[in-house]
Amino acid sequence: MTSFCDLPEDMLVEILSWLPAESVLRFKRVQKSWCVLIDALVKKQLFAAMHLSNGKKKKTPSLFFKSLNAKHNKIYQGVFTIKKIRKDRRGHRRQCVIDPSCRDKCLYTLIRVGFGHDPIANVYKAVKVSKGGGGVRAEEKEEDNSLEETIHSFDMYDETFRSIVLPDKYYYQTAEALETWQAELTEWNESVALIYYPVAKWARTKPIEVWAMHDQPCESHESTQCWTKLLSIDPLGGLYKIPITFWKSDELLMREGESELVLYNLLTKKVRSLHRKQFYPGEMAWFRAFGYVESFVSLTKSNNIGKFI
Amino acid sequence: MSSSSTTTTTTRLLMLKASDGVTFEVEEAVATKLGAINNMVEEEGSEDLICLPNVNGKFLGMVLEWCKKHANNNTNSDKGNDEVNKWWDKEFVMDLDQNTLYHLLMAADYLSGTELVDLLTEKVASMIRGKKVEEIRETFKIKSDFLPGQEEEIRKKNSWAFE
Repeated sequence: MTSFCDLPEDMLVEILSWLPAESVLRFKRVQKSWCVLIDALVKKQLFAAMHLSNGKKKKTPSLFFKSLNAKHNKIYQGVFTIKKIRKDRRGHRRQCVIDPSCRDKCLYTLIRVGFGHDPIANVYKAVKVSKGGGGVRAEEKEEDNSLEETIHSFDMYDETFRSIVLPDKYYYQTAEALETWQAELTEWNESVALIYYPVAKWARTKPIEVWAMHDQPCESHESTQCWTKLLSIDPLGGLYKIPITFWKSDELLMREGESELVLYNLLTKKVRSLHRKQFYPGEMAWFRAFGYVESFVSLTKSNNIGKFI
Repeated sequence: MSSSSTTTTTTRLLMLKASDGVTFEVEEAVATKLGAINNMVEEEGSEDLICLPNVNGKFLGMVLEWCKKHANNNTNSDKGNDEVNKWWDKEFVMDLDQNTLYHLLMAADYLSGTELVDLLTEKVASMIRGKKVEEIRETFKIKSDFLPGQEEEIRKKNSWAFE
């Protein structure tokens, strides 16, 4: 009778590459040889790349939810949550990115830090945004009393910011228009997507629209060259729902009212209830969700990025 | 007449002989899902009998069963079929015991069935994910060889992972 302990090292490495980062590090305590192996692995770029790619392939992607209420930032530990929360020196709870490849604990606050891969130099980069927009995010700015939304993209290779115009239809000039519609920037099927949904009560019979940005963020001022409309979702069952983010490739996570999370399947057009929880009044409005993958990609080595954070 | 000759070339049969002498007759398109067999076919060309001294008949049969499913479904690769394959894979690994998993993994690795290795290593990972260190030792049948205090030191260094 053979058992897993007879497996050759390269097979064990393959197995470890499918595990969450926390499990990999915990298993250093199994045996001396595991400790040596794992210590070496987490420093290897190849293993980090393998772990990252397997994490993306996993059949059950993870989402973590964040919701804020007026009094304190808190992470709502929802149905899929596995995010770590730490307390900083002052006892405040913060979201953290933990870099397991360095010996001591290295913690970075997640807020306003973007990550990306530069395919030309084949390095991973972290970007800290000090003011205004960053990575790819929506931003509102005030100019001559008119409100305007733009999206800033950050080129991972030449490290420059660019601004991208929004789809024509939503190029606002008035504050009223901004109050009618809201945009949520997200990622869908590996492209940057914009979910537009009505917020004003009178507009709630209008469809939710999903626009995808073309692969190469363009500098053109013609928005038709930057965006394609992919979906238009009519109000579901007459009930008003607010889109949050995409879940896998064909489901849209939405909130309904003040206490319910639902998943809308784009193919079957069916809605299923996910979770009900009593939130603080108004808290649901701050509800955010992010798709994420864990990674051993180091923030401190080779890129000299660590010192900027 | 010309049609019969095309059918013979597209459905060429290979004989695979396992370590215990058991032989399998499989279509070339199925067997070449395995990188090692694909290489042998490309290099040796005409040879129809391939001996695999490192794989026993029981496990070779299982590996070929997987290949057959994936070779068939690859011909029309739409999204629905992809889902069917995923379900089939799930069933395939569902009730495998440690002994079978070990031998299948070794066979898949030896035959360079990369996708099958992925499927099996992910299965093993799913069996140990979230388990305590003590449970891992039990599963892998290994004993701790740390000196007293050493284990605690590792725990302290990575305390966030043990919370």
